[in-house]
Amino acid sequence: MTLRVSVMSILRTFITALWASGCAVASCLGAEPASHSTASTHAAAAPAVGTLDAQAILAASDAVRNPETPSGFGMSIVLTEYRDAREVDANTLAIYSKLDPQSGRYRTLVSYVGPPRDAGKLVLENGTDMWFFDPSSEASIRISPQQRLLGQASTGDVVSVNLAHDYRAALAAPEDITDGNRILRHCYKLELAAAVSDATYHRIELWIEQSSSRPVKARFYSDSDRLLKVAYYRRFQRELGVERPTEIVIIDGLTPTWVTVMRYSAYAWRNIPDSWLQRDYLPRFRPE
Amino acid sequence: MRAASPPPIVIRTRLLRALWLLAFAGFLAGRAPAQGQDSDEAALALADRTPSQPSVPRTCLGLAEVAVSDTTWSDGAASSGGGRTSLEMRCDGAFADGWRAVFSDRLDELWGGGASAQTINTLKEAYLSWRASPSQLFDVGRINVREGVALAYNPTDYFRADAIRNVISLDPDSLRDERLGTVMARLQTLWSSGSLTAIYAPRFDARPSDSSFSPDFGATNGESRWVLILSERLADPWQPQWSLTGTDGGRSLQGGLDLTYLLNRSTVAYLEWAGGRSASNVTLSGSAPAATPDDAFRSRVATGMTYTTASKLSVSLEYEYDGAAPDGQPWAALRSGPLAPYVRYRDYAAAQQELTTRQNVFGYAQWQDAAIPRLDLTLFLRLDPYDHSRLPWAEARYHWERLSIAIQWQGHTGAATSDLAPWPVHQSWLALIDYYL
Repeated sequence: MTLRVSVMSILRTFITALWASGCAVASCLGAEPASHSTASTHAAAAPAVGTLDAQAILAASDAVRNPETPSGFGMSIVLTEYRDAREVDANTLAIYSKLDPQSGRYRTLVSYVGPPRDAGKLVLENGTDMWFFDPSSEASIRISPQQRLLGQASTGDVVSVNLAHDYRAALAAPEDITDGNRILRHCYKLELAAAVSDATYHRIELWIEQSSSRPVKARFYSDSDRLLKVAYYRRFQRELGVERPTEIVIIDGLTPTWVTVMRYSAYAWRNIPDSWLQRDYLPRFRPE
Repeated sequence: MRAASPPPIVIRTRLLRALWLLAFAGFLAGRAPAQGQDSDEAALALADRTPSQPSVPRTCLGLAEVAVSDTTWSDGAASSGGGRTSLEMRCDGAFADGWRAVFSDRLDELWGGGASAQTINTLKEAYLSWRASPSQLFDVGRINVREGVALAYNPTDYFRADAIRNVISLDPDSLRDERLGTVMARLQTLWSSGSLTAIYAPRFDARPSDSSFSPDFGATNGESRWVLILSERLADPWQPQWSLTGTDGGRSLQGGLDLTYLLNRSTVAYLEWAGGRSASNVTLSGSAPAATPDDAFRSRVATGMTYTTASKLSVSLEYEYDGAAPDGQPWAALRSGPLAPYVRYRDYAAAQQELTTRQNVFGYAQWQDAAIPRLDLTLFLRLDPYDHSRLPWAEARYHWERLSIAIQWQGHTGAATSDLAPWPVHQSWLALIDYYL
């Protein structure tokens, strides 16, 4: 049911975006959209803000970031962390994720592949139910969402998150912004407010390209409305049938010289049984 | 009475200052977005230069470690040095469809104290695993089954007794890592919200061995045991696990419960309980003055919470209770009595990984990337409320991709026969170099 609603939302947004952008059908079906060197009259041609469904725009953007399948998918992430332009840490993670049709949220298993001192460790994320497993001690320890295990990136940044489930979107305004490749993009700016108590962030400003529903940029805020981080979505490539961002650049909100580059690769459909996404399976898990 | 007006020169100065502040604020307001864009551009340029070098999963992982120590004594004897070299290997590989083999071993070479070097091998795990279906798993061999949600005392960790061949650190993490598994057959069936595990560990007709390369099956399989573990995920955020265990050696059934609860985004609370009819630890150790049976229903509990700050500092506080251990008066009597029963009891409690006295309080703090990246600080403090002894322990560890260096310190404060300051060790320093193979 959730999946059907989501697909309908994507279709609706796609048609809206097609009409709004006036782009050629071919370029809207996966080809790299034309770059825009200057702000155009595009915003004026777009439908009135009040007629757009912000939640549907957000859902369409979720579908760009996250492969949607009931059986699950996997991918690899390399996180490189910088401070003052110096690399201070690097991790390789294997991600196994599956959409729970009942809750509308993803359940994710994060397996540490490198560096060697962390290899084999696991983090299971199922909403607020999070467990850390260390194979050397065979111990599973419940952790809180605050317990970050990956430098600047929170677990919420690494795992697949269905923003349309966790946040209530409101359309702020059409806005032209420079993306992570320094190209001007016609975007919808969405204001996301946490809709569930366990959402990772209190609020988010998210810019989504009008013509493609691609996420372009996001700003994440804490409960006290402090800017926590800025993210740029880059390197769009066709993965599992959709053009998806394969790199996210995260800039610390307080100290902008703290930068984390998250690079995604090795996307693959996986058949992940529900019974594997629980604490008791962690000692049994082996990366495929 | 009228308030005195400030002189004109002061008014002019204030006016100028206000204008200057307004101008500066305006400059900042205009400048802030530009600075944000500059920092974003610098970050994106950095990302442009970032190479992609993903690690690949490996079947075997190893660790080589060298440690040197210095120990001071409470009896005034000269401090003594020592050390060890260690090699650890863990392999986990699939060799046929549904089949997996796991092998984990640690070799320690110890020296110091004027004695000749001693070698201790710890065969931690060696087992085969067969996945009959995605939700049916069967294992056989030496397996380190470690249950329990508490940090430092785990009543439901039923296979902890006699599992440690060589205590290399009092850090709870190390005590969990560096131990023998138990030879067993394990069957597990999983469903989407839980699992049921059945374990049978047979008795081996062997005695515990100090031989360097002994697998020491006599230590971990001194009696036949069975364990049933049931997990079922209830409504968020509850995560209970029930367990039941018994032995062929005449000890009565023991039940257990592990429970965790997420209080808020930063705090996890936990409760671990095990209980059943049993004799006291003093009686089981053979240290009781009279051989009178003292079987009773006894509970063991560990409960606490962990709070994590945004700066990656985690602080835990744990209360520990062992209903089979002596409390105030019996503990005082044991300490002031003959030395042999006291030593026998201490050895028994340490080997069983039970509390020495009925209650302890344990505090633990771990700070990742403390002050500078790659520097991790760990500190714990254990307190005994009966004899007021204390055991503080601290570690500073700095790591690179494959290498880490660490300094550890532990001190013992209390009377000579107290719980946490056993005579004659006073304090010790340890410097370590770890290399991940």
